[in-house]
Amino acid sequence: MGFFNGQNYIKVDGQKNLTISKPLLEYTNPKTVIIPLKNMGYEDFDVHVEVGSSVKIGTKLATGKDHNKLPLFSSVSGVVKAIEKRDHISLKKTNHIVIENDFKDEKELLFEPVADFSILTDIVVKEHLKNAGVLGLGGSGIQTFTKFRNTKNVDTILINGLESDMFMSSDEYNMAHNTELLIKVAKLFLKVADAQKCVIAVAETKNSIVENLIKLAKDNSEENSTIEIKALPDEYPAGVEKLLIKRLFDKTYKMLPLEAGIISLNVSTAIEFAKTLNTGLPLYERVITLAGDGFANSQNVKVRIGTLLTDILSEIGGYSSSVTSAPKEARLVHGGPLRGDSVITDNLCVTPITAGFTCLANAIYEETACSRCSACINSCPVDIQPIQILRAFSLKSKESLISLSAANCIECGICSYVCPSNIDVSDATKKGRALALQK
Amino acid sequence: MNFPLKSAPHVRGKRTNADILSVVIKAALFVAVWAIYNRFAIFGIEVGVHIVLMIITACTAGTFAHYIFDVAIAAIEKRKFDKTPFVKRFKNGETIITGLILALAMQPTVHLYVVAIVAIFAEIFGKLIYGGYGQNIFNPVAVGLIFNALAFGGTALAMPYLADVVTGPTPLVGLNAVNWTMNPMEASNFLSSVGGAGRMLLGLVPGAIAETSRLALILALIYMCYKRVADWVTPVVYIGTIFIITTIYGFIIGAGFWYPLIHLLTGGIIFGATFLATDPVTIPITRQGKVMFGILLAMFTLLIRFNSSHGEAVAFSILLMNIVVGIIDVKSYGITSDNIKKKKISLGITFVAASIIVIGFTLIMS
Repeated sequence: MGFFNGQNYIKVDGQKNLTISKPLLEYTNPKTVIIPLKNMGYEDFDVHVEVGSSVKIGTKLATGKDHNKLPLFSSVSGVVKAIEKRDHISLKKTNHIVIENDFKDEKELLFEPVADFSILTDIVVKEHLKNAGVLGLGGSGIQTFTKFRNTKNVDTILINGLESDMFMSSDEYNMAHNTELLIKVAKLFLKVADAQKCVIAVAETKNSIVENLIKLAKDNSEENSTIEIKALPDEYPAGVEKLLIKRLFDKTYKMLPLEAGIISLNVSTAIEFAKTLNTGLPLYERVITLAGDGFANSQNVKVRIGTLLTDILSEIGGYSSSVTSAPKEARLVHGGPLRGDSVITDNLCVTPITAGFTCLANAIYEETACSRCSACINSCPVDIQPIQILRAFSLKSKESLISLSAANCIECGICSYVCPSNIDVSDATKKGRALALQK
Repeated sequence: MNFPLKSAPHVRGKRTNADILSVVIKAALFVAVWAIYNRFAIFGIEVGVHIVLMIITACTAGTFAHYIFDVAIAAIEKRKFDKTPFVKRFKNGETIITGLILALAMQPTVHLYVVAIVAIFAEIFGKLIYGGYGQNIFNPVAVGLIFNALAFGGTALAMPYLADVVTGPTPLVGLNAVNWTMNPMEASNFLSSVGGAGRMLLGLVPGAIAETSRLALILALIYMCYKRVADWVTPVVYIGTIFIITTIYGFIIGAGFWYPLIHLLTGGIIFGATFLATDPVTIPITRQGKVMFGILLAMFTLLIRFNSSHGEAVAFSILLMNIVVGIIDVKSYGITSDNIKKKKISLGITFVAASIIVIGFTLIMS
């Protein structure tokens, strides 16, 4: 915040009480699950099963062909029905493995369950991270073991539990119910990375979680390996990695936090990894949030990875009447409404990086002429000038985009949110960023 | 079920342009009510009623201008006239805002047909030919004021039945006649001739309808800034720069302590700061640009005021500065929080240069 750059963060009514105040719904017996052969942009996998093979929870279905060797696992026990092209959240048709559930829930352990994390050596932990295919569940989908590959310069581990997008409350649910596990795994990560401190960032509005965490962190901190809890105001986009690191540690980096000596993890990634260690099973189920006025009920649901959204929806009551009567005016979003990506069909499966789905009815925003009110400039968290980037982009002027530092855009969408003319500024800044970065 | 593909974010803030305009309209109406009472108190009931008629005429004429412009464009493009855009703009308040503020800046006895013509001219040539609200380069109110001054000579065309109402020369005329030079004695004489600085602040002196109700204008400005409709930077820098430069000038010519106050409390400076320098459409978009704009605006206002016998210094300087808004915007490209020291130095240099130009030029010319 300053004279020249405006306020940077905005208060958004997150409406998390829609979901977090209700009891969790467990929907862990879907008839079929479909596992996408895709993570991020990568879809080159060696498939180890064929149609007719029987699988258990934790059976390895496929392995990535590149050096990261990402494994994919079955989330139910049953029989492989098909390997076919289907709709994927990335909007591209992707190969999926379709598995029919036999409801026996037989398990195939990846390794012996570990109850006491202190006996694990760093090599074993890194192996487990890699072999269990642990991903950044905050939405990045980056394999977590890559962050621990070279820990020579690392002095800080950041566990990001801010979840600043609207509606999404699955991280909050995980934190509230696995607080001790979170502290335990934080301690483990400190040892593995040989770092001095672990910072857990939480929104200060989540009172009981913050209190619990602070108490536990105090008991578990030692000299040279402290666990700190940072309670930050519930603002948007406080949870964006780059901004958070700038704010907490005053450090900047180009591509990865590792450049600044920081390993940054989503809180759900940490908790799910702790569960994997406890059970010996890879991630096969997770809590997702379904929220928005487009759904008949907003609800947090525990589902198997690969469950179809349509199946979950029939369990919680489907769409609201305003969506079914005017689907052209509605939006279905993978993730929260501020940063999530719009998807064109609901025939999709839950992937590991799915924090939830949002459905909005009557999401039609009529664009009017820019009144140069400078709301976008005053609220931009990275202090660039969105509306000027829009103009430069519409002229395809790469030179202007570079002098406007369009490459700094973090795609948070605040500029569009605050715009009183409903201009799609952030769409243009995203494209402008791509053009500015083009070689 | 299928859904349309849209870009994030999928929710939007509640505030719209209509909300912003409604705050400005409320502020203007507040000033109008205050000013009508003022004029009524000084000149009597006829003038009070006439001002209400002027405001209604200006707003109606502005709306009419929007309508005929839409009809004319439809005819030129050979398509059927569709009134929905017009209705939308009317409901937003876009069609009356210019007329309302324009009427407030005119003399209280102006003939109604003059008001109508000026309002229509301001809407069409100040706003509509550029593409409407948000697209205009020049402040439509300033365009209207200049047109009024050049085509109708400001007060020349009074309503016949108001001819016997003597509004008297505004304080500005007398000050222009002596080229704004005075000694402390004359300054205090001037103030007592109009009834003191308090009366000038409240607006109980002759002059344009709302230009004189300076306290109301300041309250309206605070309200608009509080509602985040106007950025406080431009008006504060504008008024501050004028205050500092006139203080220095007053010290040089030995005009004494009251001199800068006389400047601020005469003419349209406070009015311009409230309604013209806060119009987001025609001022720069970054904070850096807004400060630059405020300083240079003050420079032009004072240059015109000191060195020209013409009135409307504020409107002229607004139009002059509107021309360079584009350049200021391009020159403030980049990350707004970067090079803050450099920005402060360049703004400081601009301020010093503006002061030297105003004072030096005026001293040489006089």
